[in-house]
Amino acid sequence: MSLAKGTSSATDSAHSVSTLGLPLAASSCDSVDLAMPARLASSDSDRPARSRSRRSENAMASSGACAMNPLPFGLSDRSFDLTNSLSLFIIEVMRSIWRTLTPSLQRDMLAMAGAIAVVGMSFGAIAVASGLDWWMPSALSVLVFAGGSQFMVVGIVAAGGGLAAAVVGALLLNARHLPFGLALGDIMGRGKLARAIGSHLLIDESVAFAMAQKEPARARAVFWFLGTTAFVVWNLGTIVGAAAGQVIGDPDAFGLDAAFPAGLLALVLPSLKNARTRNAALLGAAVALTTTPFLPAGVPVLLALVGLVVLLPAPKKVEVPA
Amino acid sequence: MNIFAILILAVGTYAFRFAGPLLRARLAKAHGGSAELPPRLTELLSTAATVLLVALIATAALTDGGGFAGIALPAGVLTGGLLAWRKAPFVVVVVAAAVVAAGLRVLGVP
Repeated sequence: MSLAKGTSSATDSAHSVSTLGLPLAASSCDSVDLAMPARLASSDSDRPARSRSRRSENAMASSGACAMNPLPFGLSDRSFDLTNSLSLFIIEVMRSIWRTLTPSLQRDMLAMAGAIAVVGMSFGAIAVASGLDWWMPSALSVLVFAGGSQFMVVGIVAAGGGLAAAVVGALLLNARHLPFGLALGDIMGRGKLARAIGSHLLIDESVAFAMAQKEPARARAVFWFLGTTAFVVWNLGTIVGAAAGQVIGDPDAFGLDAAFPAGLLALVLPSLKNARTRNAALLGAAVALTTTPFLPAGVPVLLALVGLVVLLPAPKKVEVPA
Repeated sequence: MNIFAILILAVGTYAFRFAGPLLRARLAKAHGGSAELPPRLTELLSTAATVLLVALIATAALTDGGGFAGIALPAGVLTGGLLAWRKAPFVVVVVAAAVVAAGLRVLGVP
């Protein structure tokens, strides 16, 4: 990642972060607490280097190493204001990821990423075969990064449909990302930068994986690990597929269209142990399935939200004697 | 396809993605300014995500272009689902679903 390099000042602060001993939870908490009054007392007219180190300490102060702080790592707005913000942010994310992810979790996510890579290849191949210019599949994969909608626009245009209809249809399909983001909330982090980047990495798979985790710190690590890995392999796959063209076969022949729902099912299954959640989900799925033949893609899934009515408290009038 | 269509789709999709966390922050502010939402609202939102995911799974497993998806795809997903229910590792679930669907298609099952 070239972004990780940043400016020379960013490199300085990165160094200061690593020398302050972040991995040792107790010691870093102690040192941050002791340093706090001094930092607060320092004025805005400090030397730039001083304010940089103050920012990096701020990032550490809100790091997950400190048990009393609600933010698992330094993603508060003020920690990421200037040039060193991105590199600090990436360092913190990487640290958190390596601390938190178990090998089995990493293996599971890499399996998911492998499937995403293969589908990315088929997207590149199909897009070029449909007559798109060489750069278009990659532009879609980088800027849109939502597989279903990408296949949809390419499919509609290839079938001779209007471009406007294709874009509107694809946007409808992507509307579910709004409630996903609403539910995911602070898992991606609360800072401006975390939200700006994390929002783009919000895909069905990263939402399902993250929300299947019980601990917030692990959920965050999972979200970022799968989100960035999926982004990288999806885009590499798109390039390879666009270059290889017809050599790549139909991903359905490998059963990948079954692999994705099955993987998501494995991830949501534990939360379906809750009877209220299960009833809401079953009702929602029934609504989505019955409306699918009549409505444009994406709308039935959104309509599934009516399943949430089962969460409403039962009105007291319906006390039917047994 | 042209660059404008791609950009409109990109900006619209990003807006959907970005609006979620933003709305959540607004909701938190509306509920007394604390960073945390009330537990009931948190539960509602995460249940909503599960409902959406299950609807996504159901439509992806059972339908294809508005019609019935055939046998191979639902059979593959069902196999994966059963394995997941029996606490099989995630990788096994995903691979088994793909193998069953692909195998049935090789055998000529739609």
